[in-house]
Amino acid sequence: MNPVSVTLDVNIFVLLAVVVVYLGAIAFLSYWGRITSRNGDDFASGGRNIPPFVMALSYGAAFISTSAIVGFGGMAAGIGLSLLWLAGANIFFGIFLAFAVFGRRTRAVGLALNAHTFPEFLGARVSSPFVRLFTAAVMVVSMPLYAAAVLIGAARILESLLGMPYEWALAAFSLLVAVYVLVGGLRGVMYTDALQGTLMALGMIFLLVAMFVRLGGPVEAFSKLHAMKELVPEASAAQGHRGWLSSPQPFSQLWWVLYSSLVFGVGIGVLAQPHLAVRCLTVKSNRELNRAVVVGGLFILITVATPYVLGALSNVFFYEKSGKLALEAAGFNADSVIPLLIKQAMPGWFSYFFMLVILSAAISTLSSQFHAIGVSFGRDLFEAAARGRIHSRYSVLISRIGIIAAILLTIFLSMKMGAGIIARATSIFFGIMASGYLAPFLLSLYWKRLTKTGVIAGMLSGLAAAVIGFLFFHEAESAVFGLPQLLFGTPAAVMNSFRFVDPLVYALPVSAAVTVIVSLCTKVGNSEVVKKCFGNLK
Amino acid sequence: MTGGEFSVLFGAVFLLASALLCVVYGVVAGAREAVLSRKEKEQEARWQEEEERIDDELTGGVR
Repeated sequence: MNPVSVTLDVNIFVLLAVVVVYLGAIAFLSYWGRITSRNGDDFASGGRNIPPFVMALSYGAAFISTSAIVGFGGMAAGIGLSLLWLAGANIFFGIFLAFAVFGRRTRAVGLALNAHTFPEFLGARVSSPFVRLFTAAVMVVSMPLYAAAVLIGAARILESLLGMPYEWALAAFSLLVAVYVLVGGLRGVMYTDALQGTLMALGMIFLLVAMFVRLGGPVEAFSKLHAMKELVPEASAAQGHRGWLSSPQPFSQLWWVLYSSLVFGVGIGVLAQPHLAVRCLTVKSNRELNRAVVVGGLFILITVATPYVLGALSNVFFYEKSGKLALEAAGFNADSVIPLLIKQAMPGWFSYFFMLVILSAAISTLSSQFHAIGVSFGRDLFEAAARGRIHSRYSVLISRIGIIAAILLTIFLSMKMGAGIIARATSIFFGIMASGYLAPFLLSLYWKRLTKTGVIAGMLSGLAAAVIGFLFFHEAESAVFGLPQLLFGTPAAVMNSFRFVDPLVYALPVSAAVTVIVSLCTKVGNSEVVKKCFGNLK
Repeated sequence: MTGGEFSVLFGAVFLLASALLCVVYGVVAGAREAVLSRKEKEQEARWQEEEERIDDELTGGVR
């Protein structure tokens, strides 16, 4: 993602006042999280009594980062409303299945195992310290890449919208998030996420209504967009673009990107995101999960579908205003489309509110990421490696050290990573986690016959298939790593349509098949654990 | 309507249906919980009454 080049006209004093009020609210919620967190378990999983609407809003706010609003909104300006498939997948897989179906099981099995983190859950389920340590190591190594992607996006937006130096924006964001994650633990993170989620939802509702009013109502707006299909640029048409209200040409480059990387990779991949998968462990009972399904579903509908609709409709706005398509108006930088739309189509005061929406989207995701990395480092790597030789009262301290280490690593990566890395870093992280862990995780919830060797084999084969895919076959990444160029003289090892297929499409079936086959060929190690996990389940 | 446009329309239907599914699921589950909770309370009250009746029978009303 390149830096946006839009600077909003803001009064710095008004902006400072708004930011101070916002930070005050965050500080209060973080402090509230601290005084209600009594021990290491509270710090790691919120004491398992977080209110359902807080859990759902927090999950949604952590799920939806800056890139979903600005990045994917800008992408919708190019691709069009086919991205609604992704929004639908986010709700169906990311909320309904994640909470109503897998969430109940995750809660039941997680409670039986007394697990608080994703690595702890998987390791305890198959009685394997190796699975726990390895998963934590994968998280600690790869998640800062994703956190850096979110941090860069947020810092670039502050830099561009307010003219703030990039390094300052990076430092300010990191410091802010560090303080409240360190102080409040998961409770603080979830309470502040809920506030931020509310701001995001309000901002999106206002944007959508204002846009429809501006374009003469929804029917008029979509009719105009439909009539613009003849204006699709030749280069986009060659990639399979057939208009903003049409799906790309089947099996074209754009079609593969849309359905394999975005709808499948991001839509389904979210089920194996370690900082989200264990959110269900934070509520008191299944009753809270049911309530969270309603709040979460509506939240994602508002915050995800709205930027996609706005992005697509921005073509109508910019074409009427300047005779240019949205991407052209934004200097062919998709990340500039939404900020430019805010500047040109919305009232001036909305700039301040939009700043808070962007701050909220970035900070809520970053805080959950830092918390997950820190707790994995402290609880899963350090404590597990020490094998009980560390007193539990040091648990929070070690997690906090882990969070500081994660933040420093993320800042380092953010300074070193070049332009255009955000989408790739996010897609690599989603791909790696879903390829290696989705199949073992889901099987661990339902299949008593799952074995330790099966999980290890499934996890390693899925990760290996994904890494090979990213290094050699998926052009978007392989061209950056440069190995196929070195070996074959081409940006990808295979230069047909396969180079557009996301590695998750083949890595996930490989991981699932290997997990099942190896489990069937090996013995279940600890039948007591299986009894404990499934004894009370129907 | 072309196949591509139908796909987008179906995507929008999928999106709204998924959101509706979440709402309906939550409401139905909530109603079910309320019914179960009421039944549990009624059952508890019945047991309490029955217990008191048996106590009265055994003790002849003397507690």
